[in-house]
Amino acid sequence: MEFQRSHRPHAEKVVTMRIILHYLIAVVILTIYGGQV
Amino acid sequence: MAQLPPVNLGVHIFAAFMVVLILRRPLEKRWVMIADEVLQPKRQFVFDFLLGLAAGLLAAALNTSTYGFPAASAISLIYGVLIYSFFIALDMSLARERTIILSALARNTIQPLPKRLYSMTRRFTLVAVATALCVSIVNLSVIARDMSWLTMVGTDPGAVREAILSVTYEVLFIMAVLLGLAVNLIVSYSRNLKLLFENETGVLERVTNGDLSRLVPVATRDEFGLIAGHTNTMIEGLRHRIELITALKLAEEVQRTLLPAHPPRVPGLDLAGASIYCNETGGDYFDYVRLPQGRLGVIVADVSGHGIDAALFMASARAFLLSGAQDFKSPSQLACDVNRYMTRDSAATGRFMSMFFLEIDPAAKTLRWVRAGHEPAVVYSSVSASFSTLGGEGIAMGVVDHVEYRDYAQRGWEPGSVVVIGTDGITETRNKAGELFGDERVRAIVRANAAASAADIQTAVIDAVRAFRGEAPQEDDVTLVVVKLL
Repeated sequence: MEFQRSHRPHAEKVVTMRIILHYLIAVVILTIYGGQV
Repeated sequence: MAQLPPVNLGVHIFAAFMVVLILRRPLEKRWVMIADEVLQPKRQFVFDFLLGLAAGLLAAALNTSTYGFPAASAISLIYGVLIYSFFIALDMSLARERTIILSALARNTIQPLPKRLYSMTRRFTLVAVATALCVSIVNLSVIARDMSWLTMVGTDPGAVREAILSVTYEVLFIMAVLLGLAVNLIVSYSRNLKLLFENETGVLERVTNGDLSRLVPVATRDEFGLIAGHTNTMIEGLRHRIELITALKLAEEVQRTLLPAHPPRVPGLDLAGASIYCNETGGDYFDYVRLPQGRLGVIVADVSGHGIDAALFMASARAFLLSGAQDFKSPSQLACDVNRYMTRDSAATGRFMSMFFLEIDPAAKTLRWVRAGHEPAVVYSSVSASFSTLGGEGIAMGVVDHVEYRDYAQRGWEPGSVVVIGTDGITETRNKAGELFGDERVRAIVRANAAASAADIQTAVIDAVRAFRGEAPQEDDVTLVVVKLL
């Protein structure tokens, strides 16, 4: 339960940061190549 | 689309991903987080893959409606987003799995093993094949597109050189992106594996050091989950065994208190007795009972079998014997009464008990005994240097309800005579070669030590039995009572 109160939100934040980073990279790559892979 | 400035295209792609990002969290809570923890990684993969697809569709729709995107370009954009989403979804699935593993480790709660296992090798194969396919498809697409483009460049050396450079940069860029995504997946998966290995080995190290307080959290439904489940079963089994061993040790201590710590001091008699059990608990029993008019009763009994059940039977037999001795009339009467009670108890178990009860009257120098299926006592006369036995008839107790036991008696004894009452654990002790210790060895030791005290004679016999057995296991309890008639 202690983990759920303190560590779990932190872990979720890490996951959220990870997806934001992924999306930003995706936007950059797809913009550069116009989606034409 | 080739003429479209990248910034314009990027704005719509960015907008599409932002919309998806805003919707992602509430949707994730409603669809991924509510699932059982072992199912969440799989759902996370499907969820992020579908979100990527949605972002691609939205970006294509925006660009089509705003800039009149051609269908081929829209499909191309969606295709690119799908490929990238595959890697994002895999990475997020691994991240979700990692969160669950950490959560399980921190909570240390033990979930039941999932009924349906999703093999790690199967998952690894699927991911590896899908990744290889994605990389191959991307490479093929790029090569096909660039080949077609190169054919249109013409023959101008400058244009060709520029085109080759452009193609090279593009291929290198795409390879770098794919390599980066693949390495990211490998690192992500390795982190999960490391956590799972540490989880398992950490608990096993504790078990090796005798600490059974922790179980392995079951965080995945693959082979690691299976190993964790089996490890937990093993730890619980070990806990149960330790509880049993502790209980047996306690039973041993309790049973030790049922045997006399030291013999009583009776004028005219020198007494010694000992029991050595082959397990923690045994079925042998000896005791001394003070009887009216200075007489003494010596009991040696042997319950069939050994172990905890024999010990319990022995404990109840002891209670019957000591209770019966309160109203002692004769050895045979005592045997009859105790046999009646024991037969009632032993009916269900089939256990029985042999007993030798010797009543000694030091004042009158008489011996009176009853033999209930037990080995006869051996008497050594130091004056005549000869052996005799205190035999007689009588079946073991606990077999037949009503048995008429007979008293046998001997009047007078030669001073220094030694009475030896033992259980068959002595004579039937075997050495590694399978030889029996036998009655003759007992007699030889008694003869050689006849001048010694009862305690010394008893120790000499027990030591000789131990030495004879050597490395061979002790198969039966050993009990010996030595009475020296002074």
